[in-house]
Amino acid sequence: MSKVVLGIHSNVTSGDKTGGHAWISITTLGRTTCYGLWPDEHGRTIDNGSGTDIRRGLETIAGARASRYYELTPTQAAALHTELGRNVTWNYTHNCSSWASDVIARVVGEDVDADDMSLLGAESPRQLGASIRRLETRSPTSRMSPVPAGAAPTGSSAASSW
Amino acid sequence: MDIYQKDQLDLVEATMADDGVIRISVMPLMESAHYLAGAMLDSDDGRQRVQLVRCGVSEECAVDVKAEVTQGTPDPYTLTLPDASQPVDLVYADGTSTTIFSPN
Repeated sequence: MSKVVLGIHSNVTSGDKTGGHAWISITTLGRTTCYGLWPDEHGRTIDNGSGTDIRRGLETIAGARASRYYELTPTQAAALHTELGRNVTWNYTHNCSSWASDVIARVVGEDVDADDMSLLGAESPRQLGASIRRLETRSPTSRMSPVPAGAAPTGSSAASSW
Repeated sequence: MDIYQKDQLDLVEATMADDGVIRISVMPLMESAHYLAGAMLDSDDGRQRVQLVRCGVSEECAVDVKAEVTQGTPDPYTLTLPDASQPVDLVYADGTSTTIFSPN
């Protein structure tokens, strides 16, 4: 089976508490596809009614200010496929950063914390971006050099607890 | 509703189109809770002043010129200004500005 690398990205690490965006990427056979959670009401999205708010192809990795990468085992790749097939709805308290963080937690078991204390614990892209940066400081990754397949999670990226 | 800050705009290009209008291509910071609704226009001392409107997804934002984008793509937004006879200044949220178009 060809190598599959899962990435998690944010384009902000500070600023406006509802600003910025977080998404995931999948690289296999040299080709990268991005997925993100977007509401039907957004000017950029096609309103698909009750269909999933997981959208493909609205992002590129080039826009990321913080990124982390994981090589997947076959079991993890199957879990990722399951995640992408879920019908997920965007809302302010389950937004792009919530979804991206959930995918990483469910697929590879690492906690990329997106909880924003100024939002009473709701997730934000800026918090996700800051958490990615903290994890990358401890154990840097890249698309070419991801966390090895099957490696134990580094642990929580949370800066502090409640 | 608010106005984009300079560091929230990844790309802004203004060119004269064949039909004599100004086409402004804008790539705002990607945000799922906000989008580029369009622009507010003003004229001052022979110059056009443009402010790009950042709109929350649950808001209705009135604008003078609507932004167009091909849905389902990561492409830039496009805005059209009918008057290509005056210079165009893009005004940011902090009041500073950049000249993005000068007529020949």
